Amino acid sequence: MRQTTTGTELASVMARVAGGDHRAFAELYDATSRTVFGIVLRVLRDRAQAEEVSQEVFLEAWRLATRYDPVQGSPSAWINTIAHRRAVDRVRSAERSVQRDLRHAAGEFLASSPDVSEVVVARDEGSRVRRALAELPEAQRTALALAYFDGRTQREVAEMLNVPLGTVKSRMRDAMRKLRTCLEEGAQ
Amino acid sequence: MTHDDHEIAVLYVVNALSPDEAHDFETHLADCVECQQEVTDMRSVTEKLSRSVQAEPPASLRAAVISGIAGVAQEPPASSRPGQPDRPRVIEAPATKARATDNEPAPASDNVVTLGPRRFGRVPSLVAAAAVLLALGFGTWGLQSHQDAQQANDRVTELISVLGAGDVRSASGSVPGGGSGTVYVSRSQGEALFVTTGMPSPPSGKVYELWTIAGRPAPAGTFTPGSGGSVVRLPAAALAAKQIAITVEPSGGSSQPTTKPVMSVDVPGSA
Repeated sequence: MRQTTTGTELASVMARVAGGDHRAFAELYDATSRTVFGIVLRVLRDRAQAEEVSQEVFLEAWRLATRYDPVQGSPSAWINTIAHRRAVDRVRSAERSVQRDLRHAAGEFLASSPDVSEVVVARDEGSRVRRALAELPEAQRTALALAYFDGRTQREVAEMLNVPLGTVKSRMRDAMRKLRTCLEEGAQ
Repeated sequence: MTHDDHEIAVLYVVNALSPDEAHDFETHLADCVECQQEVTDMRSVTEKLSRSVQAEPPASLRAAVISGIAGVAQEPPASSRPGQPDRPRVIEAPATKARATDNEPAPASDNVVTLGPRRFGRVPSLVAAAAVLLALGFGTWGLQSHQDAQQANDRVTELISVLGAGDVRSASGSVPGGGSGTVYVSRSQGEALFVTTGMPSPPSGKVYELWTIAGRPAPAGTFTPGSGGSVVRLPAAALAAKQIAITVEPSGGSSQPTTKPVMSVDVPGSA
């Protein structure tokens, strides 16, 4: 399986990074930078800030590579966790303007036209994930997109959609479960 | 693992918890093998979500990142919880809280969308889009210039096309005195909205009245714009109309136009 090969390679790259290998770190960057930059940009919607935060993400990955544990997922999932968290923290600490609110509102990636690099890089997996998202009931998709792609808290999502907090929780849980099932099936 | 823990694990993975809630969950996570597994599984899903929005970073970033680690020491391996990145504490921006209370929806007339709680799941998505606009304080925007209004329109279009997720089409027009209006139509949903931005208040004792025009103008509702804009749900007749027009009428509206239109817009997709 292609995925496993890549994953295994990256795991050994990661082990070398943990040993302080700068060249391995460059390999880690090359393997993950498009995903990191992509999600940070999606949450922040500002290229200058996305570059700044991406740089912080990789600096953190370098510092904490020594603590990466393969049991807790692939290196790419690990670094994505850092990236999403940093982007969300940035967006929440920044002044929140109505302009940002509107630009962000609601899972716009479904309708946005992907840029060229996105098409080249992520044609297969990206479209598969989008299809999986498109198959979710709209209420679930919207809740998940507001949280993950716009960096909203569960409370903000509940306010924006005018639904109780419990509904937001169950929509997100159902959305993530369906996605997991759907993407696992699609990978086989 | 309880039902509730499952839900919290998902919220944790998508970073939708407040800092305190995340901290509490992390305390629980340290000792709960099942939740650890759930978090690991869910992180493989969020990683795929991120892959779906990949973007090429500038070459300068690579150089900055690689030169940026020179001389930076790595942490000593493994403390209590390996692989858990440090979580900087974030103070919730006060603006977030303020927003929920500050934004009274635009002054409502009969068919201005004012959605109460819990209706989202049951209304057409185009109307849900309007609800989101109002929830976001759209009705209280202060738009200073035509350019502001244009940018606002672009964002509204973007938002509605997303929430409408389908065949939503739009057309815009501008008002000579300032401001603009956009009609959004979804034929599959049988819904039409009219969104105005930056329109001046009508003279005292007057309102704006919308008209659907297919032959004779038919009344389509009155509105008084908020400081920034208004979102008006149009009657179904709008779907069959050639144009939507706005006139200034006495309060309460008229049954047929008594002034010249300040704006008219062709309904997209009309025959």
